[in-house]
Amino acid sequence: MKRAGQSKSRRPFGRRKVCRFCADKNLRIDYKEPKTLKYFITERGKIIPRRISGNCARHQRKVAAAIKRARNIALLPYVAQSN
Amino acid sequence: MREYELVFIVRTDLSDEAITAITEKVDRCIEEYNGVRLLRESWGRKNLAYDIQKHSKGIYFFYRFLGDGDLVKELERRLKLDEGTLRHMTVKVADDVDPEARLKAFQDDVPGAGQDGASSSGEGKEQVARN
Repeated sequence: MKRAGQSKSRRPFGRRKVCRFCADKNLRIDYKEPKTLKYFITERGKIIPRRISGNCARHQRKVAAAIKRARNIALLPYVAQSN
Repeated sequence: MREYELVFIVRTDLSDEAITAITEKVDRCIEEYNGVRLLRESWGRKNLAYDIQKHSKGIYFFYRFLGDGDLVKELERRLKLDEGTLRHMTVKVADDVDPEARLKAFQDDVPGAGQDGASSSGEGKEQVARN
């Protein structure tokens, strides 16, 4: 396998954080609940990538879709200020 | 019939009659197209995450209903034309729903607190009867 370029995060077992939603089945992903969703956006309002949030693929997709819907109806910002 | 959720935002500088006129418009439209209204809530005034048409607050209304595509098209058309509405969003929740069973499920719910809560956590539920 080639190792082109410098990639610092090349550790084989980086993070093994559990997906929040897989762990707690009752946690709902809903665009109407900015309370739960706001943990998955940065201070600037950007969606946090899965390798940081620890979500599994399935739930990350749902979270992203819910965030985009919430943004649509101004429950979450598209861009936020981080002073 | 399919189940939908509808959220729309009304300007805050409208009179109460004007606001009820909008909700009545929605209700009437659902009836006209033989839809079934399952739930109608008002989330009250909330701060918008960003300004819409220079407004920073809005009144949120939430509907759940059963209907078909024509109803949705017409609802969105009316909401878009109304000058009091700032935004609307219709989301499909389920396909192929049995209206009576679903309606029953909603009427068996215990009525919640009043409907004009401005809190973002609680959702005031209003019991809905099909007429």
